[in-house]
Formats: sequence, structure tokens, C-alpha cells
Amino acid sequence: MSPSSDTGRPAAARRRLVEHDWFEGANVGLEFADAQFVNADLTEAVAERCVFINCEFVGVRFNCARLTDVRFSSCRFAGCNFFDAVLTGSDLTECSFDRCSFTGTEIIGGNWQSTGLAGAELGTVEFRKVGMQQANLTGARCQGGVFVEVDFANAALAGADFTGADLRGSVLTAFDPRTVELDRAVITSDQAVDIALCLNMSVR
Amino acid sequence: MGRRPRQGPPRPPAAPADIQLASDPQPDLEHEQTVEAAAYYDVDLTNRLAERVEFFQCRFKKATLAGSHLAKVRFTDCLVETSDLSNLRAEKGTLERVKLSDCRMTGLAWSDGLISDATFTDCKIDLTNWRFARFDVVTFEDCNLSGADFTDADLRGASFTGCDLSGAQFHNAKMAGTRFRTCELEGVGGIANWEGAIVHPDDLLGLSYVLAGALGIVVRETDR
Repeated sequence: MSPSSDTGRPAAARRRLVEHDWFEGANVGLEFADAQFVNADLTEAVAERCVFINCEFVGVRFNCARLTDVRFSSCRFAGCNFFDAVLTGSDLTECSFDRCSFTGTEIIGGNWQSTGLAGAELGTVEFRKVGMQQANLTGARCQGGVFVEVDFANAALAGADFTGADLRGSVLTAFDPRTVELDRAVITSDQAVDIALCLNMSVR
Repeated sequence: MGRRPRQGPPRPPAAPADIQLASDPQPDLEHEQTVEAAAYYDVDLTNRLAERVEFFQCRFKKATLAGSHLAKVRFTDCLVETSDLSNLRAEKGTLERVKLSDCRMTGLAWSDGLISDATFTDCKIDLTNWRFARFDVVTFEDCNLSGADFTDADLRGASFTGCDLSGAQFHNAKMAGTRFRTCELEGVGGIANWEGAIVHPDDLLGLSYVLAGALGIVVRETDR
């Protein structure tokens, strides 16, 4: 992985294109760095303990895929489809998602720290016990989604819409009720205190 | 940079060297009249209409000003006890170093006024209008302020202790430094404007429920 001279970010042009049939059958312990996957069909793919670093996924179909303990680091997803995919204990740190579909996606455990989901449609996603610290959810549409025991600490949430979302057990210290829509969202009593404190009240 | 409210308790009213009982039990009030060191005991001042009346070092006990319209009235160094100020209209009025206790003030309108170094104790102040008023070192203790309207008020120098504020409105109010302790807050409006307010730990849970309700949030336990 070679950083470009001006931005410090990995140079996408140097990524090597990976043939899309690599994922047939169960894939365990595969590692990819600086790779590019274009229009690959990974429908119903099963992967465990694979590692993707600085990879790019364009138009990839993860439909009904089962990813367990898979690690994506600094990866970019564009126009990908995660329909009904299940990600268990998988990390997607410092990744970015652009025009991706998450219909029925289930995410259990794992770390999505600093991942970019600005404007993402997450209304039918289930996130459970996921670390989303410093994630960018600006303008994300999360109406009716399930975000149970998710750590949103220091996440960017301005303009996000959590109408009717289940937020029980999640860390809500970054939720400013003046900029995040929370109508009919479900929380617990201790989380109500977190929301109140988001108004910068002093307690003494 | 905004005004920084003065800290500490309200300064008490200065006592007059001498005080005279109001001679007439139903005295009249005239425009721009100045009344100094008068005692209004059992005096009826209902439904008076006068502008810019000033009361200095006066004492009111069992007096009534109910229904009067006293725009730009000024009370300075006054004590008001067990009196009726309900439906008094006092737009742009001033209360400075004034103690009010056990008074009935339902429907009072003190919009765009100044309240400085004032204490309200055991008063019924419900459904009152304090829009655009400024509170500078003012304490409310054990008062019924239900339905009071503090829209656009500057409450940075106000403190509320043991008060019923249910249904009170705080839209666009300045609240940085406003203190709340053991208050009833159900149905409070404009709670998103409470940035910088100082809340007693005992009130926090109740307040959080109020806030959740105001935002339409459903509070439910984890296993349901």
C-alpha cells in the first residue's frame, strides 16, 4: 500500500483488480490489501476471519452473505448491496459507504469505528452490540431501525433521523435532540438522562 | 459576548426611615405618580389605570391591585405580603429589590419588564406572562408557576426552588445559569432551550422524562 504524495491516502489507481470468482464456497483466513472488487457477485458467500485492508468494492453484491469475524480496514464501498447479509463480530473501521443498500442487513457485534455512513438508508438494519464511535451518520435515515447496545460515542449525527428507532442500551451522549430527530424512538430511563445532558445542562 | 448575570442572593429592600399609612382605603393612582414610603394595608386598588407609577419603599399587606393596568410601573425597595395582584397588567414594569410573599398573582402580565433582586415566596403565580422579561438575581421559592409563560425571557439570573412549573413555557428563553431544584416540571414547553441550565441531581430523572416526552421519545425498559 503506497500513499499518494499529496493526500496521504492510498492510491486507488494502484489497486489490483481481483477476479470475482474467488469467493466460491467457504473462505477462511483470506487476506487482501489494496485490492479492487468490481461488480463481484458474493451472494450467499460465507467468509470467516478474512482481512481486507484498503480495498475498494464497487457494485459488489453481498446479498445474503454471512461474514464472521471479517475485518475491513480503510475500505471503500460504492454501490454495494448488503441485502439480508449477516455480519457477526466483523470490524469495518474507517470505511466509507457510498450509495450502498442495507435492506434487512443484520450486524451483530464488531467495530464500525470512524466509518462513514453519511446519508445512508439504515431504516431496516439491525445493529446489535456494535461499536460505532466517531462514525459519521450525518443525515443518515435510520427510521425504524434497530440500534441496540450500540456505542455512538462521539459519532457525527447532525440531521440524522431516528424516528421510531430502537435505541435501547446504546450510548447516546452524542445525540443532540435539537439536531437529531428522535420522535417515537425507544430508549430506557437511564438513556433519557443522557439525552437531557446533551442539552449541556449542569447537574449540581 | 452576552451579559453575565450577577451572582449571590437578591439584595433585600431598603427600609424606609419612616412610613405613613395610605390615608384613603381606596386611593386613586395617577399617571407618573410617585409614591414614597407609603403603607398600603387592606387597601383596594383594583381596576386602576395609570402609567409610569412609581412606588418607592412602600409596603403592601392585604392590598389588592387585581385587574389594574399599570404599564411601566416601578416598585423599588418594596415589600408585598398577602396581596392580590391577579390579572394585573404591567408591561415594561420594573421590580427592583422587592420581596413578595403569600401573594396571589394569577394571570399577571409583566411582559418585557425587568425583575431585579426580587424574591417570590409561597406565591400563586400561575398562568402569568413574563415574555421578554429579564430576571436579574431573582428567586422563586415554593411558588405555583404552572402555565407561566417565559417565552423569550432572559432567565439567566433566576432560580426556582420547590416550584410547580408544570406546563410552563420556556421557548427561546435564555437559560444559561438558571437554577432548578425540586421543581415539578411536567409538561414544560421549550425544554430544548434549557442549554446551560443548572439542574439539581434530584430533578434530573424527572426532567429527562419530561424532555423525552416533549421530543416524542418512548421510554421503555430493556426487556419489553
